[in-house]
Amino acid sequence: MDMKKKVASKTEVVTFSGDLTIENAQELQKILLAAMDNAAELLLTFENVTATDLTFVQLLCSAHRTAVRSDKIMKLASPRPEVLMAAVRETGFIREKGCILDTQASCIWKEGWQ
Amino acid sequence: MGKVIMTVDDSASVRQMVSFTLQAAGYEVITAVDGRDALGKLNGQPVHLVITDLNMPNLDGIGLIRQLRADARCKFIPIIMLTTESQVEKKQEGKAAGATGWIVKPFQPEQLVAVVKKVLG
Amino acid sequence: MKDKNREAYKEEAYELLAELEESLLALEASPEDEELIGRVFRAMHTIKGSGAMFGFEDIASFTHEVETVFDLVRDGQVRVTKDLVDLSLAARDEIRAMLEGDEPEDVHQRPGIIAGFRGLIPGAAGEAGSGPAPAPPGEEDSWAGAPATYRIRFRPAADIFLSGANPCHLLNELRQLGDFNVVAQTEAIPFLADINPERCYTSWDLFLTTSRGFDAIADVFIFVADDSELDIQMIDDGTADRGDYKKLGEILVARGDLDEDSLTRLLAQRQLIGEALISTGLVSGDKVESALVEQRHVRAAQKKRQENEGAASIRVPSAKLDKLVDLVGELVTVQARLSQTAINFQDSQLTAIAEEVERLTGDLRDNALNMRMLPIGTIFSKFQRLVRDLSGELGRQVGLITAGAETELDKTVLERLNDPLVHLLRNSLDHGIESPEVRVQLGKPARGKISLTASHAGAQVIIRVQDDGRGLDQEAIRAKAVQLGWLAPEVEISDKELFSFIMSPGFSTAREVTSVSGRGVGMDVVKKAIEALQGSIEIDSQKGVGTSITIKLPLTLAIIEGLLVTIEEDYFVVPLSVVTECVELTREDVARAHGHKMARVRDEIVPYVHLRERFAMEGLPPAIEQIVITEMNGSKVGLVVDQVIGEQQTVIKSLGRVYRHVAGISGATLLGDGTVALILDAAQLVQGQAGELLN
Repeated sequence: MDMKKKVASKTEVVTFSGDLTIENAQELQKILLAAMDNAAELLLTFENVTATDLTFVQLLCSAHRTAVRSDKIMKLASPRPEVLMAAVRETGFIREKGCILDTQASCIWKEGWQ
Repeated sequence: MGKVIMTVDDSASVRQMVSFTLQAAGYEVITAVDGRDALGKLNGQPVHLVITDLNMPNLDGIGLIRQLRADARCKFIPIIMLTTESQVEKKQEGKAAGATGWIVKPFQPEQLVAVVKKVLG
Repeated sequence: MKDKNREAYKEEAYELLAELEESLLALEASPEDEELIGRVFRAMHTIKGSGAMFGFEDIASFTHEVETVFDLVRDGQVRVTKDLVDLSLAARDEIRAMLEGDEPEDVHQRPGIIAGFRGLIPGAAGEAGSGPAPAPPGEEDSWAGAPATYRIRFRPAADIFLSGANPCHLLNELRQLGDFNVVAQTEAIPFLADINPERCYTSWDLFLTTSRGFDAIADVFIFVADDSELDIQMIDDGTADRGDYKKLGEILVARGDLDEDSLTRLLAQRQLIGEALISTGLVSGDKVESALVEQRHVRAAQKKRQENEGAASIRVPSAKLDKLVDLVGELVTVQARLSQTAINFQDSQLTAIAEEVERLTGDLRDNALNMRMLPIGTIFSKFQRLVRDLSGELGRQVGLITAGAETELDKTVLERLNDPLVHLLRNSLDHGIESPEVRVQLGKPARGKISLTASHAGAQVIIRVQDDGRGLDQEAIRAKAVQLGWLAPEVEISDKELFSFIMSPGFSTAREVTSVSGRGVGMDVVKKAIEALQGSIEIDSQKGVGTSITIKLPLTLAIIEGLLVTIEEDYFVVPLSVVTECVELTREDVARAHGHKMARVRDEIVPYVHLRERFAMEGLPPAIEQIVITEMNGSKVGLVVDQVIGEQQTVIKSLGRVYRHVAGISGATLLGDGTVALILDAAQLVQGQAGELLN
């Protein structure tokens, strides 16, 4: 696991790589929290992701909820790693409509996973 | 894939049967004769699954499970315990200690492989 | 591999026994030593546990008794005494004897030791004995029914990851059971500052269409069921024909996510229900999503089922099929006449048409007969249940293995095959397979095996019922046959012939014979039923090893290959399946036999039935007659006729009520020129002869 942060104007870009799994979950949470503090707009990108699991999918969902609540924008860049696409599909996170918390209608589970 | 499985049992015949079966199924197998031996051999070596007997000298299965769960590297790996029909409370104790699942002895090689596939995915 | 494991076990057990002896002796000197007690317990535990695993069930169940007591010693409930040490040493010697495989001269010692140990258990004396662990569930449980659709609501414990379990693996395991859809319920996922990323906040609504049944689904969750919320509901049993599953609102009401009053109120608003539900906050988006997926899943499953059924088959009453086959049979007869006529006319145009009709009729016949073919598996599946229930009733442990379920047989044959097969399976269970205790003592696995297999061999279907039970007792059968006067004491006969005695009526009515011969009554009934199907039945058996019963049946009863023969002006057909050859019978042959109805065929003496006499037909036989040699149940009998015409495809017509029970005739057929030929029931004709043969 290895994260890079880069501030491009007011958009904070966070790049994830390596094992995005439960063993690193606490670290991943810290990175997302810190990024959320720093910027109004968050772009998550991926490079050489080797593994992922349910805990990371939960973290993404949690991060998006947090962003929406504080009027920030969180987006996931494409292309997304196949292991992540598979984990999202297999755990049934894909949605047609966002949840009640998704007041921006920006639910991250609507597009880009098939 | 090359997943590594550690089998811990004080019975040589069970160790042999387990490792033979798992190797035939394509896994890499490390064996240990009891809990203490297992902890020694785990040092520095990542494993994906531990299969342990419960009644063993030095450090028994329950003790081993507790110590593995306390170790950051083994906190989330699956652990299968081998129990006998008469050890219902032992099974509960093992689950409480953090075992993922169990196989009731006697078992057939196919059952072993099925359970391993179940917890390793 | 199995033997290798057994050897490894033996070696280990010898070591453990040596260690055990040492520990026991040391324990006598210091009876409070917990370390020693633990060693004894572990040795017993390993001998038991591994023994059961490598096929030493007797050792396992015996050692279990000792282990139970030492478990109590460990807990301080039983004290180490000299008696206990003596008893344990005796047990150790006993285990050693069992390992070496030789029964000690004094087998009665074992119950004594067991009783001794049970007596040491405080409280209930002798209660604790729980025999060997039950056999693991076998593959027979995987019987597949019609696919049904289930809704599974699964909420794992929040700390599921700490037990090493991965809910994703469980979902993937379900996915392998059939058509699968999954909707995560994410409501409980907290904000980033509050989330403990090592906990599971997600629960799932899962939709699965599978033919594997409820238990297969529950099995997936076996390790996590205790700590999770799990609800498995069948929402479509796979029989509903309509393609319109419940409406969204109804699904939510059925799940308890919405009450009926709110639904009625919402429906009155004439809004899109999904939108209305979410905007009013009555039901969460996740739940609506889940209900939508459920609706789509079930509709897709129903549609697929309809398409499958629609494309693959249409239902036709079997009476219509029978009528079709009947008509085809008549067409075959008419076609034969047409071919005959064409030959007589020697008109090339007519001959060409006749040949084309012949080819088409052949195809039509094959197709029509094929329609009535059913896979034998349709009756096999019932037998799994029968064996399961019966083995429970009789205290046996038996696994039924079936093979060749796809083998097809004519529907009418199949229907009439059910009872004989039930009978054979019953016999195997009741008289073949020994009780688990006896089997273990004989060194067989406690769980007996019956296999039921079907296969094609040419125009025949071979069905075999085989068990690994006690087998037939040749001596007992022989003795009984001699006693009944069916066999002269000094006559040597083959096992096959010997075994065929038990299928003769009157043989196995005596109860004591059935218990030694290892077969129940009623084998004569089975044989009759099989012969009525134009089939044959054969028994093969080895005492102590098992019995195998082989049934050969024609593919269909409607048309058989027959041998056309004549006596005087009359035509007869002998089913070709029983014919081995035809030989001549001259007046000199008859004279040489001195009045015995015997002929020498290839150095074999074959008895024969003179059909002309048997049917009391007038006229004199020709100088050279023909013997059609038939073979059934391993013995040959000849049928004497005037002339053999040749092979003939024979469409069987059943006889009218008046003639139906005439002995020796099983039916009739029409020949090309419209003449009626009677079909001979070779088995019945020959039966009368078997008795005469001995006198």
